[in-house]
Amino acid sequence: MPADPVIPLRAPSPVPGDIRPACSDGFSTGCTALDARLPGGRLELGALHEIQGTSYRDRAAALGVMLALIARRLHTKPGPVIWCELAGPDPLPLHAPGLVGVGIDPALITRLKLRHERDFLWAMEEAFDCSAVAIVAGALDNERIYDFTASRRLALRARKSGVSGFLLRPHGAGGTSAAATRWQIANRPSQTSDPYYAARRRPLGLPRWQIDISRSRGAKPGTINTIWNHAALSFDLDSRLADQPAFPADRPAEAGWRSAV
Amino acid sequence: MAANPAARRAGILTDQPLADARALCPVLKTADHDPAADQAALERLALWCIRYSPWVASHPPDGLCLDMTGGSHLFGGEEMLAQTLHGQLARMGVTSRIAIAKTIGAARALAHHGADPITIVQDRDTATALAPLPVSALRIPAQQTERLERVGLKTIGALIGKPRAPLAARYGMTLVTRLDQALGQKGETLSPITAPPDYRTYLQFPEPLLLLDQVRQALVGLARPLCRTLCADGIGARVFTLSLYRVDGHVKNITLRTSSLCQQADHLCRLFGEALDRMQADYDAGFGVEHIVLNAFATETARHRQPRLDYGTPPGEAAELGLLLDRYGNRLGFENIARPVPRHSHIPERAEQWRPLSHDDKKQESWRDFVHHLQGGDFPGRPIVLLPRPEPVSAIAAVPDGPPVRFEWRRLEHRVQKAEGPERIAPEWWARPHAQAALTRDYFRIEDAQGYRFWLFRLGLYERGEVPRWFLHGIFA
Repeated sequence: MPADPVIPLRAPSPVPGDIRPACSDGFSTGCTALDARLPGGRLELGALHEIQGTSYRDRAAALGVMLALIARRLHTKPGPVIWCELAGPDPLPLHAPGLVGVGIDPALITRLKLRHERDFLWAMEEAFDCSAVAIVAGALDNERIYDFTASRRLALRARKSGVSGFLLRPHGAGGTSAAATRWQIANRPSQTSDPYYAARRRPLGLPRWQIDISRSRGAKPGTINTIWNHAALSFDLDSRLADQPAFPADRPAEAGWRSAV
Repeated sequence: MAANPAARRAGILTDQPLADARALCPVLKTADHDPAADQAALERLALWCIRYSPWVASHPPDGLCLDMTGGSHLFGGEEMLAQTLHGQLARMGVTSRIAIAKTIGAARALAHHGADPITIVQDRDTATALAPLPVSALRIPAQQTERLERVGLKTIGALIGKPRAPLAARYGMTLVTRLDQALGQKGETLSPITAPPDYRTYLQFPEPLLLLDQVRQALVGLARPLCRTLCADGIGARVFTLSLYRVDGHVKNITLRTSSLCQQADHLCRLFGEALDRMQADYDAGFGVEHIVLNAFATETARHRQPRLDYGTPPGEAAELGLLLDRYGNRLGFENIARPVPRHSHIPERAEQWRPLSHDDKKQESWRDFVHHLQGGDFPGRPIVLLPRPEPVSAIAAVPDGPPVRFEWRRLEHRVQKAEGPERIAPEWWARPHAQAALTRDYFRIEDAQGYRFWLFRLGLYERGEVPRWFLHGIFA
């Protein structure tokens, strides 16, 4: 007897252009408070994540958060990283020995230098299509054509292949985007009372970042103060100053700043 | 300089005054002699001739030389080849005289001075065929020809039987060399205009292809046999060239590189497909493409790789990644794709090298060990961002050898809260001293009041009487 033709029709068909991740796979950042702000309580694989500094000066910190997330992902599953860099007047060139300090093996990174944003987006899309790639990362210095459509193209491809993508956007860049999360990073002074540094008698503490998850599909956005522990490859909650104003009063408020939720 | 057959029939000679020629033939059309354009046209024709043989040399002002050794059967034998070539050239409006012979000298002499437009001479008949030709056919200077003719040595046949030594003594070595080269008693090399490929396949179409899509389909038919041959011989290639020959004699070459030895037809088709896509916008097919050649260069023996037993990347994934990188390379340039490799130097900008993606990389040393050795421990002692060149900052330090108290970088003032250092990096004594690397640097890791971290160094030492300057070299996360 032939199969009932109605049954397959009743099954929910996938909506074309659905950007929810197909695989509900992800990884934890190591900080419960941070995970709670993320969709599903973890950082999704097969999705695009946007990271930006709160101000121009915070872009190194944003790069640091991006590298920290990559380090954490590579720790569970090492694989090739495609790093796209847009040539601009004020680039942030990666320093390979510094990556070791964050916890990444630089040998996994293949860096592409791109002259045009169109090529940049093309290269990222193609990297998302290749399932042999573990992570696609891009540092978009100044964006002109990156918009919702472009982000949606990236997100769709990421969803299809299960490759994680991180995009460093310039500070103040806004607009709608198909990215699963958007992180806004502000630098904070380090604490020398960190046990790690106190034990080693080093004057500089572990890097401290204020992470404002300003966009998170299906979870409540919020602001968390974290410390990146490069030895444990994990984000730790900065408990001493959690949920306090970001900066001392002498720091002027800058454009694009979002207050803690 | 030259006259076409119709003009010659009317009695026009070369080197004739224009007025005389006009008197002989009032409807004569004349054009100025343009040696550069002639040369360019000859080169273009030489490129076109590569379809018959990969070894083509141009002999200016009007000759082309093809090495057809072992290749004429592909075109139905020498007779057929000469006929086809003659016909094709005639269709392009080029009058040609063709000779096939044992040596370059003989073929050239027969083509220029033979009786028929097409002459084919068997190896054993070379001397006989050359005998009735004038001595000027030997590529010797005009005054030598004149001297030979004055003593009655008018044909090559008259020279062949003569003893070599007196000839050389009286007329110089050139004559003897040219004579021996024509007869095959002395070697002569042919320098081809393009490097001959190691492997090649071609397809010829009775009906010209007008669309790039048709070319794309034809490509599959070319890549498959080529890759089959490569596989069978255990050879891989890194450079591939696709040549599209248009009906009107233009040749379009597309060259591709691969990062590793390639034997896969699918891989090639995909790469060439993308190249054709990029070409689509400004491609002019003219009257169509009638001949396509796929060449493989830079071949090497491809070792069969044993799949790794440990956790390394599975071979399928490695191949997929290789394809992705090749596609990047051919679109963006291979020099823009790089991987970091440690270099043994303590000078920060020399410690890393972003090496352009190239051949199958050798096993490189571990970065972790290298950095451990570099900074003497496992701590984040190196910045994540190293500026392309150190930027000068104005800094004020409390004590001469200490870290700065405040500094100004890009017009922003930073008050230093915490500092680590110095880490002294002396110049390498073996490196040639040049302006900046010649002085000792003291590096400090600095955190300012807002928590931004920088890598500053002081160039020069007070105790040596140098005037130190401060530079910002890197940014920490």
